[in-house]
Amino acid sequence: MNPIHELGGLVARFAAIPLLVCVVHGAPLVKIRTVRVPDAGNAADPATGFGAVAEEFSIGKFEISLTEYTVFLNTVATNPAAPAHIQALYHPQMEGDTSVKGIQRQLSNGAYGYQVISDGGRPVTYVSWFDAARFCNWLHNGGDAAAGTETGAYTLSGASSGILSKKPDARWWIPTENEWYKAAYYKGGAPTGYWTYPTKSDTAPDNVIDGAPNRANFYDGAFTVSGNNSEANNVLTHGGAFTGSVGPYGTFDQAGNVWEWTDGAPTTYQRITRGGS
Amino acid sequence: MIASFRDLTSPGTDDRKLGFRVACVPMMRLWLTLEARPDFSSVPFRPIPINPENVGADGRIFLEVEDDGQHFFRTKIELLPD
Repeated sequence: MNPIHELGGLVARFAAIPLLVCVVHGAPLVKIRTVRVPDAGNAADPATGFGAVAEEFSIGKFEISLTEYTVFLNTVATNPAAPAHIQALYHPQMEGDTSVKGIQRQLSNGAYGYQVISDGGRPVTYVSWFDAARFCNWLHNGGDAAAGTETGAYTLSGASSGILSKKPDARWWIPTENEWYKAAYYKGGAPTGYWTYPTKSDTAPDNVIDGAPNRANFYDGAFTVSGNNSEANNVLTHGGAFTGSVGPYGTFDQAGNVWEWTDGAPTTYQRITRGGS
Repeated sequence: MIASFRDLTSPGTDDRKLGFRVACVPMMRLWLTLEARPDFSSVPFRPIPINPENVGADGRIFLEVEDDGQHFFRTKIELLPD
């Protein structure tokens, strides 16, 4: 039986109110779409040893977008006198690298403001692991104007180096390598239990952008987007642009587009990234 | 031909074109059920999924309820396993 939680005795009378919005706390400023990854306790991929996850979790349906990251910057990184680890949330190459731009920063009336350049549905790049961890902390703390970046899922306290672990009560976090791997490849059952590619395929995807199955944005002698490195046409594609190439649990772009951080730590100063090409 | 993505990993450093996606606690699917008083026979019914982004750090939930201007509603929240 499903547990049912009734709001004790709550009877709402809305007759005279066309639209009622109940907000009891500052609502999150970004809406991260997620997909659920059940099948807890699955076995690892015998071919690689990755993919076993003991607990159910959810993961972003898309890579974090320029629009989402810009909202984050405009919320937590507007003070030009902020500490270096906050200043570092914005990388000048977010505007300067014409192949992936971007986000533009401007100083006006003593405060930084950030604007998306062109299509904000493309993934953000030039993000360090610690930038991503601060984004997770911000979400963990409510993702609003009052939410902090230094504690929450990770206790950063100004850190921008070293290997930190997420706290057990983290609500949002950078995926573990096994979580990322399972969301990308797991299909359950025999014989292998894992797809070879994150497009629910055991054959290599094509890099043509259309709605057909088994497509991804990667370099295959030519880019998916034949970028001329202009603002409106670079090598990144809008999240979910390959509409027919959803992953086994509903994610998009785990193959190609950008490399994505995981919390895998091969050394004391590096983290494993996956999904790029 | 692209190499098998499964074997394709790279140790990240900060000077590369890196992005990320996030993970979170399992998405709870909460349905807000609107029930009319017995004297109304026709009941607008619209389940509203509640995702983690609708849940504050303190566990409180943000709901948006639309009213048709004609009915009184009783709210009930059901927590479903999936």
